[in-house]
Amino acid sequence: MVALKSGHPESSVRRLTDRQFAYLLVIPLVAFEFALVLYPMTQSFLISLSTYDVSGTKPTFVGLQNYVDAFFDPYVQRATVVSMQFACTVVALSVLVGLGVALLLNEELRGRAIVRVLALLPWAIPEFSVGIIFSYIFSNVLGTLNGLLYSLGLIRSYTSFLNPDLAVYIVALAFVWHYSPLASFFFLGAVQTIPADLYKQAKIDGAGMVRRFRVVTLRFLRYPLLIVLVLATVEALRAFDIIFVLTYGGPAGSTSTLSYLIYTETFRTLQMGYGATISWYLALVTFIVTSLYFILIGRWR
Amino acid sequence: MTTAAIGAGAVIVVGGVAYYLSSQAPPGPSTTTAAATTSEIMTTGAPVTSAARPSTELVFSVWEWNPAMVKENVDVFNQQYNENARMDLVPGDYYATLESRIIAKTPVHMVYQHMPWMTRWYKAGWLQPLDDIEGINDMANDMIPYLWDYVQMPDGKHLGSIYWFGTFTVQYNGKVLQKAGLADADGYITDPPKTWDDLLNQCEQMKKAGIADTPLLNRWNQEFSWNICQGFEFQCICEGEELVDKKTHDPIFDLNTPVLAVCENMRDAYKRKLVPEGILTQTLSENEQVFSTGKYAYAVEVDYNIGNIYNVPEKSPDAGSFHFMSPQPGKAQTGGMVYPAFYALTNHKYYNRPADEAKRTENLFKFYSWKDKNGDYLVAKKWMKEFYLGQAYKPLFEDPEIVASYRKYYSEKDWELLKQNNFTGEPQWAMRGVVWYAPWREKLQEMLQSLVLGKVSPKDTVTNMRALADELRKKYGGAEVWTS
Repeated sequence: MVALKSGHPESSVRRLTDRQFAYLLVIPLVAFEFALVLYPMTQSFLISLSTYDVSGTKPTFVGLQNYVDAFFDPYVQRATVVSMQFACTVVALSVLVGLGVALLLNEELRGRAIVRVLALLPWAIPEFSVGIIFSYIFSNVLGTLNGLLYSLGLIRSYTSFLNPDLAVYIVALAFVWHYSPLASFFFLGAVQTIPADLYKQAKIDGAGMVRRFRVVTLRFLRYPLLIVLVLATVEALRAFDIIFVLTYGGPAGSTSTLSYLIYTETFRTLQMGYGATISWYLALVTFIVTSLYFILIGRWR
Repeated sequence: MTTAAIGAGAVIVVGGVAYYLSSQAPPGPSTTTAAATTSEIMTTGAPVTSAARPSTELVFSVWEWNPAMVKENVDVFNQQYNENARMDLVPGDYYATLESRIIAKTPVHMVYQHMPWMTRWYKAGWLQPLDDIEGINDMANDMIPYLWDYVQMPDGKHLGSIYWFGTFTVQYNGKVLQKAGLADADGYITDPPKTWDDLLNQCEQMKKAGIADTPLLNRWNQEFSWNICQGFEFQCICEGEELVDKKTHDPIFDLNTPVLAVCENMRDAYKRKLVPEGILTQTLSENEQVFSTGKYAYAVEVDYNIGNIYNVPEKSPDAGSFHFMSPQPGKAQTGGMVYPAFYALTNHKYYNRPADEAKRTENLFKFYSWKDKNGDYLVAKKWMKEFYLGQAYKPLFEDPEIVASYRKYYSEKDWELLKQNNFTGEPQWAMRGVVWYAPWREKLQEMLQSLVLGKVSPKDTVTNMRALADELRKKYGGAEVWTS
């Protein structure tokens, strides 16, 4: 039981029940969540039910019409495909690179602590800056990659890497460079908890390297893997800065993901209502994909 | 810890706080005493007063082009008017960023503008008409007449004054053309292409001869303003394609107007590999950096870059070889496309601005877009003399210092052409006051890039462009929205 006492020695003591005290502690957090999450989300949903175009027309309630329009909108359909291409590439490469680097960093290397810090650095660089770095690498006129390949005699003239077929993967590559250190960090933490005896026993039982990885390492990585998958998917689906800096969604919309489309609809054409609708659509896509991960990992158990 | 160490620590902390406070203090009477500095007197022509500067900041939002010069001018304004103005550099997507700030009513007093957004912002109630500003008629009478006409909206109000204007033309590298036998000994073009197809044929000839792998450089990326739409609009002007009816604001292009030829030509240039493969993601600054390398014969370019980059020996290996083509290829045989950028004021009412703040904002506007407190074209002259940004006032084109500056990098022939183009120019009337144009232009970028890549045929592109224009015209309205 908790008591709040007044300053006067003879005043009555007002006692709070545990439940009341619990509410007292929770209220600020609830208020905070309401102000910063619930209210904006409700507003966003209400806006998505209107044709709210700040540059001229007044908001008009249209019910679910924006959602119907978005469902049949070829730009939204294309952006969904591009988002999936981008997210799949990011998730697959982040897991592979992250795990590979984690296993490497788990080895007894000289200066391991410094290497670990260095390996984490790309994650500390803002996404916008990563975009600029990769724009210098992949530029078709001034890019270092073109310069390198040209110097080595591998190409006869500068080539365009950011073409409609490759651009989405190049942007994904830049994102993986930025994001995979975080994945490594999660995997490394898990790998370090695996008892060395388990490997020894597996070896005695005749398990080869691949089997040891499958039956020992992977069992311990199940939950970090879930975290990495969910985070990588969410991060990839909401990636914006890198796309903006590297390609502006082009060429010809080939890197226009859903989050980029939300930006162009909301801030470039000022269709606040429609932009909010696509935001909710993206939230739904993200929810479905991440739910699938939980189901799959649950079954793996 | 010893007492001495504590004392030293306290001194450092107190000193640090004192330094911080002094560095944060707004410039007030103590910094602008009656005993004005020599530099202040030299800059302003008169010592500044000792009155306190206003506490409310005037925010001047600008995009990223020579911010140092803008800041320098803001400082002069603050000195001359004893003011409290601040330059606010908006990185990245200028309009999108500013629009979200204005919607949130974040203080912004003066902005840079281009026509499609200026129309849209005015309709949204975000911009202040200039017509009631004291002395505005004198400024208007001083301007090259068509520029003042250009900023007049269909409701009769004027919205912007010239930050700079210049003419987009085809520019050429005389050295490259000489190799192809298309230029004389002085590097001037001898056989200017009459049509855009002629231009591509010349490019193909140079490509085959190994003179230039991709002889043509165009602005076909997706940046916020100068993008593939601008390249398209330029070619439309060259072909006499008006796109929009000036009176009704109806779209007037279709498969029977020159727009189809423009689309076919753009597609053709890419298909025949006469433009760089990566041109759709090549940034503006990359374009500017590579045109001077000698790898390109032609580029659609703005006039100021000849003085800022291409004919500057320190920046360009082929300096001295770059010239304007005139007239431009195409049926209209025009001098080029005049492209102005404006200073505009945000709406006093929208921001609930008190009268004195509104007046101060207008002072800032007049200082930048016309004359300083001493009656000189201070800002305009600096932009013209140092960065070759065309200005709206004819006397500046005769100013000996400015002429001398231009003549360092512009040959006499080019200088005369530049003046002729700018005095009798052809701005893009299609976008003036047309409320559906800005959103149409946004969607146009992707359509045009798909066209260039061959994903959509020229005919389908024109059909789609027209369908979108009709849809947006219906949604936002045409000329009637200005009277209803």
